[in-house]
Amino acid sequence: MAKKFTPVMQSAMTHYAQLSDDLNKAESPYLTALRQSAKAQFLEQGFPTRRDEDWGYTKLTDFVQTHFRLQGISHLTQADILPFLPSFGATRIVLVDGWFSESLSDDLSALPKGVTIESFEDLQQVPESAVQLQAHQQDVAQEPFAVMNTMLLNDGVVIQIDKHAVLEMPLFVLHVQTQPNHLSNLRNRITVGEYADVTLVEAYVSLSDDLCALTNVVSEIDIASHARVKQVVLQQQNKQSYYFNNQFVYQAEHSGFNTLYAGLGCVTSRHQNHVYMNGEHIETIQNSACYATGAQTVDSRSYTEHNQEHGFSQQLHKYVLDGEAVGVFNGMIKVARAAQKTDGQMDNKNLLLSDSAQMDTKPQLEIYADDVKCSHGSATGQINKEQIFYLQARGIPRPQAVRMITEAFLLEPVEVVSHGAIREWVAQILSQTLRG
Amino acid sequence: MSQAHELTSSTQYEEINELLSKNKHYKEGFVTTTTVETFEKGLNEAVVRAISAKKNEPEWMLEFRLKAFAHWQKMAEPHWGKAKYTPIDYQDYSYYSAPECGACGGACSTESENAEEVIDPEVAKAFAALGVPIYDDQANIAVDAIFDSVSISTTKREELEKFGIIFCSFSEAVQDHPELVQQYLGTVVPYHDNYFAALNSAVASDGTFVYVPPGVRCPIDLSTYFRINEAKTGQFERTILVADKGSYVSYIEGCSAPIRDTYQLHAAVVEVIVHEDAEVKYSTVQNWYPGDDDCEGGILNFVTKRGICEGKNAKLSWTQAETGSAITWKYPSCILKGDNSIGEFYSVALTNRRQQADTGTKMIHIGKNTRSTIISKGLSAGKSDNTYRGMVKILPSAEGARNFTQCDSMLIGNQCGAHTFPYIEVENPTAQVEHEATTSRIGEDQLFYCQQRGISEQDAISMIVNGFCKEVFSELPLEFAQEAEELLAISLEGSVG
Repeated sequence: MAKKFTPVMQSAMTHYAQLSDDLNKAESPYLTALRQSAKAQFLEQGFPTRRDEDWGYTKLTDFVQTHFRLQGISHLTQADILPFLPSFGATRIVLVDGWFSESLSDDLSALPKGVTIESFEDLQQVPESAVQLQAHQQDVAQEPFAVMNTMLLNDGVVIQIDKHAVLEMPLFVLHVQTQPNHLSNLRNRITVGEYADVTLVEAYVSLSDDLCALTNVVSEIDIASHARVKQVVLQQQNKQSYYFNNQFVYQAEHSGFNTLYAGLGCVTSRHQNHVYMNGEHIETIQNSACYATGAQTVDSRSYTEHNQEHGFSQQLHKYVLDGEAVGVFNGMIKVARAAQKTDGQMDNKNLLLSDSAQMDTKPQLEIYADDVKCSHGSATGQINKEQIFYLQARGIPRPQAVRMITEAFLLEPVEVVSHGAIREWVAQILSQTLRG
Repeated sequence: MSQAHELTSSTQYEEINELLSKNKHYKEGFVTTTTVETFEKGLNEAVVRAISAKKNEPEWMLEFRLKAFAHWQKMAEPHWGKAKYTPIDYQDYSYYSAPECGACGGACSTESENAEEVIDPEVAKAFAALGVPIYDDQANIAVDAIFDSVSISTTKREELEKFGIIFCSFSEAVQDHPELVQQYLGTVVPYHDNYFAALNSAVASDGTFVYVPPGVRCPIDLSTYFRINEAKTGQFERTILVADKGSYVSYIEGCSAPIRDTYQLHAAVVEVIVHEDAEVKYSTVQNWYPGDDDCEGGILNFVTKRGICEGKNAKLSWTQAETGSAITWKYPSCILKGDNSIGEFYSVALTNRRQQADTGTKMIHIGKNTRSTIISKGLSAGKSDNTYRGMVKILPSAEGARNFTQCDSMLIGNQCGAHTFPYIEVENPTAQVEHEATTSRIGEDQLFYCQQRGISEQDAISMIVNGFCKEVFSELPLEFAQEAEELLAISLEGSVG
C-alpha cells in the first residue's frame, strides 16, 4: 500500500528528489546508482511524521515547509572564522556550507605521519570509495535523514588514521553556515587503524543569527581493534536552523569510543549515535549536554548494540530546558545473546526551568543475555529548593544561585572529555550559553 | 577448576531446558465435558445481534455493541508489541459458549434463587477442582464464577446487599441496574479506544459489575474467577467497578484454561471508577494456559484495564502476578484526575518456555499533587521474552506531581530476553519523576551461599526469586500472596537441575 502524503510533504519530497537528479548530471557513475536507490526509498517513505514511533516527539511540520537548496560557494576570510576557533592547538579543517575549504584549512599535505585527510568530493572518482560507501548501507538505510543524505551525496571529510598512529594534536573540524536556505549535506568517513589514537572535535556554527539553514550529516566511523577515538561534537548553530546528524560507529575488539555531544543551537536538532560493539572488551562512553530555550526542540538519541562478551558502555545525558523548549531523549541498549558479561549503564537527567518546558524521554533496554549488568535511570524535575536556600543562606543572591546549580548540573557530562584544554573550551561555551 | 565450573553451568542450562520442556506443571489444564451451547464460528453483525438477544439485552446495549462492531471493522490489528504471532483469524472463533444446565434445558437463568440446583454438576466439579468456592459457605470471600461466556454463580450477594453493595454479573447488571451501567459503560475505556477494546465492546460475553455506595467499606474481598473451557472460543469479559465517595473495596481476579493445542483468544476490558476519597485495590493472579514448548496453543491475552481517580484523594492500586498466557498484552492504567489522587502499580511477570509478555502500565497525571508508584519485576526463563512497557505522563496541570518507577528484570537461562521500554513525558516543571531499571541474574555467589548453608539449589532459587518479588507480593491480599508465591514456584520448578 503506497503511503499518502500531505501536499506540503509531497512538495518537499519532490523538491529534494529534484536536487538529487541535478547532482546526477555531473559525471560520477559510482554515486549515481547509490543516489538513485536512496531516492527511490526516500520517495516511498517521505519524511517521518509524529505518527512514526521514533518521531512522536520531534515534529517536522515547520521543517517541510522550507525548501532548502544547494547554493553556490561563498568565500570567507580567516577573520570571519576567527571567533569560532578554539583556544587549544589543533589541526584545522574548515567546511563552508558543507563544501571543503582549502584556503581556510591547514595544509593537509603537511599532516603528521599516519594521517590522511581528503574531501569526499575528491574521492568521488575513485572506484573503491563507492564500495566503501556501501559497507554500512543497511544500517544507514534505517534512518530517514540518512537516506536523504545518501540521496544527496556530494561532499564531506574522509579521515584515515593508519595503524599505530597516535595523534598528539586533536583534529578540529569546523562547519560554518553562511547562506540562508542552504542545505549542507555532509558525508564523513573516519577510519581508524589498529592501536591508533585520535581526538576529533567537530563544531557546527552559523555565521549570522538570521539565516535559516539545514545541516544533514552522516558519519561512518570504523574503529579497528585496540584503537581509541575521542570525539566532541559541539552544535551551536543559530536558533532558526535545522540540524540532523547520524553517526554510525563500528568497533572492533578492545577498542574505545568516547563521545560528547553538546547541543545548544537550532530550532530543531537531532543527534543520533548508532554504536555497534562488534568485538570483545570494547569500551563505549556516550554523553550529552543539551540546553534549549524559546521554541527549540533538542533531541539526542543513542542506540548501543552489545554483540560480544565483556563490553562496557556508559552514558550520561543531561538536559536543561527553559522557555517553551522541548527536550527529547531516546536511548536503547541492546545486548545480544552472545554478549555475556556486558556492563551497560544509561542515565538521563533533566532540569526544567520554566512552566512550559517539556521533556520526553524513553530509556530502553533490550536484553537477550543473562549474565549481564545493565541499568538505566531517568529523572526529571526542577531545581531543588533546599539547594537554592543553602546558597542563599551563604550570601549568594537567588539568580546567581540558580545559575550556579544549573551550570554544575549541565557540566557533569563534560567531565568525560580527557583532554584538559578541550574540556575547558566546551565547558566555557556551555556556561556562556547558559548565562545568555 | 574453571573448566569444571563451566561444565556445571552449561549442564545446568541443559537440565533447565529439559525440565522446562516437559509440560507437567500446569495443574489447571483439565477439560470439563458437559453439554454446551456454542455459537457457530465466525463474526458478523448477526452474531453481535445474536449475543445481545441471547442475553435479552435492552436496545441501548445492542446499539453500543453495533457501534463498536462497526468501528472495529475499520481498525487494523495492532502489532507494535514485542510479541510475534501470526495474525488472528477472527472468523475461526466462536463468540458465545455457555453450559446448558441439565435440570431445565437452558430455560432458566442464573438469577434463580437456589444456586445449587442450577449449576451444571460438571461445571461445579471444575470449580471445586480449581478451589473456587461457588456456593455460599464459610469462605470469607464473595465470588463471581465465570465459565466461558456466562457467569455461573455469584456468592454472598445477600450479605453484601445489606451494605448496599452491588456485586453481580455484568449481564445481570444490564438487566437490574441499567442506569448505573449506562452511566459508566465506556467512560474509562471508550469503544473506539483500541482494536481489542472495540472487539470486546462488540461481543462482550460476561463479567462482573461492582458498585460500592458512598462511605461503605466492603467487609470482604470480592473476587471473580474466569475459566475458558471450550476450544476455539473467545472470552470477552467486561468488568465495571465503581467505588463511590469515601468507599473502599478490594477486588481479586483469577483465571485459568484447559490445555489445548490451538490459540485461544481472551480480550477483556476492565473499567474502574474511583470517586472522591475512595480506594480500590485491584489484584490479579493471571494463570491462563501458557502453551507448550513449541509455542503450540495457549491463551492470547489482550487486555485493556484502566481506572480513573475521578475525585480528590482517590486511590487506585493495581497488583498483578502474571504467570500464564502464550502472549500477554496488558497495561493496567491509572488516570489521576482528582487532586492528590494516588495510582499504584505492582507487578510480577514471569515468562517461561516460549511465552511472550508485553506488559506494564500508564500513569496519566492530570490533577495537582497526584502521586504514582510503579514497581515492576520481570522474570524470564526458557525461551521467553518479557517486556516492560510503561508510560508516565505529567500534563501541564499536574502541579507538584510525583512519580517513582522501578523496573527490575531477572534472566534465568541464556535463551530468554528481558526488555524495558519506558516512555516518560513531563510537561510541568514542579513534577518530580524518577525512573530506575536494572537487569541481572541470580548470582552464583548467592546460590553458593545458600547451598553452603544446607539449602538445596531449587529452594535457594525459589527463595531468591521470592525475595526479588517480595515488594509486589506484600501488596497482594494474604491468601492470594501465598497462591502467587506457590504459582511462581511451580512455574519455575525444574529451572535449575
